[in-house]
Amino acid sequence: MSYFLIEEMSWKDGVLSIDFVSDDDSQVILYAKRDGIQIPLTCYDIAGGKKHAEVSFFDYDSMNIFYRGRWRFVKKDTLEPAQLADDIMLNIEDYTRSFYNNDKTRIVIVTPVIMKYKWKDPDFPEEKRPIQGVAFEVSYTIKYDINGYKKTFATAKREANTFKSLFEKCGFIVAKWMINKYYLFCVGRYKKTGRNILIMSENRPGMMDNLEAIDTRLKERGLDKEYNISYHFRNIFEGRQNPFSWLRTLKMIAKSDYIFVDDYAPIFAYIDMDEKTTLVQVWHAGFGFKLVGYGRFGISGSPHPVKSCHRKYTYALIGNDSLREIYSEVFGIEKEALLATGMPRLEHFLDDDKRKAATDAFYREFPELYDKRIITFAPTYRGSNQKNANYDFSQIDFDRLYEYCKRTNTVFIIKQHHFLKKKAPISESQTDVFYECSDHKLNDIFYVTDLLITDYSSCFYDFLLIGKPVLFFTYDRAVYSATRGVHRPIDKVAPGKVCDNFEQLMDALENEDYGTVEAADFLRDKCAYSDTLASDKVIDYVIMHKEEEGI
Amino acid sequence: MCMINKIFWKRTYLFIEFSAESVEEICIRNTETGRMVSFETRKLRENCYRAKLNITIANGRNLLEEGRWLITLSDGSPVTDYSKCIMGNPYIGQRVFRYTRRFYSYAFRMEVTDEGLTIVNGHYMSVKKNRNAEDFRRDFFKENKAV
Repeated sequence: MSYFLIEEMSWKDGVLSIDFVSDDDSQVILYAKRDGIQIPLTCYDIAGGKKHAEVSFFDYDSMNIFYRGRWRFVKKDTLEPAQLADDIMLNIEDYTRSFYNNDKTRIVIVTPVIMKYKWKDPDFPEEKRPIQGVAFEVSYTIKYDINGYKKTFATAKREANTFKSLFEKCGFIVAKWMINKYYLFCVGRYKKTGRNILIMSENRPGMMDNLEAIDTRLKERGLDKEYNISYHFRNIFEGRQNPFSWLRTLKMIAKSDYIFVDDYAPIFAYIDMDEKTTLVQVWHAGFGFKLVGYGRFGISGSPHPVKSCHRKYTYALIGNDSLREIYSEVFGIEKEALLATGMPRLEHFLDDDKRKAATDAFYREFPELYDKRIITFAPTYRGSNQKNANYDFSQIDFDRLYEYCKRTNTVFIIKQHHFLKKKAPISESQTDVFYECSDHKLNDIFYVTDLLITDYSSCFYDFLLIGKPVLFFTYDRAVYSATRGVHRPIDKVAPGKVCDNFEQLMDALENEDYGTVEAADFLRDKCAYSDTLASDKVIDYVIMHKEEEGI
Repeated sequence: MCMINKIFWKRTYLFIEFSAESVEEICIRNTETGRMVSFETRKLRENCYRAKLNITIANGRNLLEEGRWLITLSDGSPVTDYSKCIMGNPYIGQRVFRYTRRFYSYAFRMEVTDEGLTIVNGHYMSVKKNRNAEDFRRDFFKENKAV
């Protein structure tokens, strides 16, 4: 519970009005940290113990336009930031205002920005320490023509703040130019035979999920004798790749007729793809709440409007017909380019022999869990990318959870997202209940799982096929929606109970109240009701050029 | 007869809610090139419909191109009854999409013209250097007053 909380916010012309509650009478100011400017606000009491303040971002008489930069609402003495009520955060996009000049060549844009805080002041009571605050970013912008706009050294100079960043940007422009030239050289040198298949990933070190299923099926059908199948896996986000790795990747791409790629592969953004090459995105996720790709356009981590690898896909696989609209939005491609085959990785998911093999392997590794009830906790990461990915385990009271698990003969398996390298903070004395299995395949763990706890991740999509309950632990639902974005409101669509704090999660566990929301159509993978294997549909349609009904 | 009741954004979707006696297709027409882009329409209730357009794929695999877009019916005739949706709200339909570390912006606004209700969109680039920012501040007021 925040003690400095903005409960209502509205614009009228250039004036922003806020209604807030505060636990003291501290002076509220607008504070620009970079320039050290403080603007005191006149506040007055209104009904319900609230206070009201107004900020004019434009004052024409005195020609007072706010300086560009981030302006935070804070208390003057402590610089404690104002936090936003959830209702505002869930619709944060609606609070942006743009003010044009007469000929519309310039805009002043005022955007609310959610800023995360790590409040370290030891004099501040722990329960009061804010974790987020709101700032208004004032930007001065001028018109430019995107069509006539080329990324040149001149534009790099405009974008760069420091000499170092200018040097990096110029280097990046040269590198991208060379990448494309080398690719085009290879395309000219190696003639297409129609027999070369490349299976690749740019952010996983090995083959898994849909790529593995398609590769297995190609071999089962003996197509590896008719086609040359090449493999290329690396994780470009884990560190700097050497130039030879890039050259090898480009050569393999240039030689291939069919490329199957899983997940984000930025290399395709840098090259002008040869028209004879078929590029298929076999995206691993069925449906997750978190926004990806062009769903994030305009917010944190937004792709470039034109030059994104997602726009280059000839086809992309999706789990069912109802997901067309979502993935058309995600990849920024037309609905017709989406192949509703189902997820190839799920086609044998419910097979008894596969299930038995995975279950046996699990209990061989963990024989002590044989008669225990198993809860699997598989949240997604927070942060904008692989480098700053994190999860806030302080939201979980491990002692209380330990006591619950002991009492109910339960073990709690933690499977972190593969972006997260830091282990969960489990104390030595509690390792009989808490197991970290982040290096295991999640779908193998699902076979022995009695209850899944997740959040915005797509993993529940697979688990629904098993038909066991799911809980959604979304302690930061509003902040996550405001900063990362979600496709659908989780509280309306989630096929299980949504718990917004640890207390609610424990209540749901204690009372076995998992919710009864029926899964929507777009949450049912085609593999659950189709006679043909998903990987066969992909191979037949993409490689054999056979018309497949219903994809 | 078609009457626009509400215009709003949800992520990259532009929504137009309208009343009509029969199903009408809402389009936007570029006032310079004449290119028309159709919205997807679904019925909300009797005589009430909601049309939507994803601006990131409104031009094939590209963003809706810059320019002025008149809201029309499928035959190209402008929708003339929109007073309800703009009443008392000059900022209706405003949206800014920011990309490349918030350096660039793709901005939308609505304008009422002689022809009808128009969506205007364009790309903008942030002013980074202090000297340029000071020029901007001065010019912004010297030239005009904001909308």
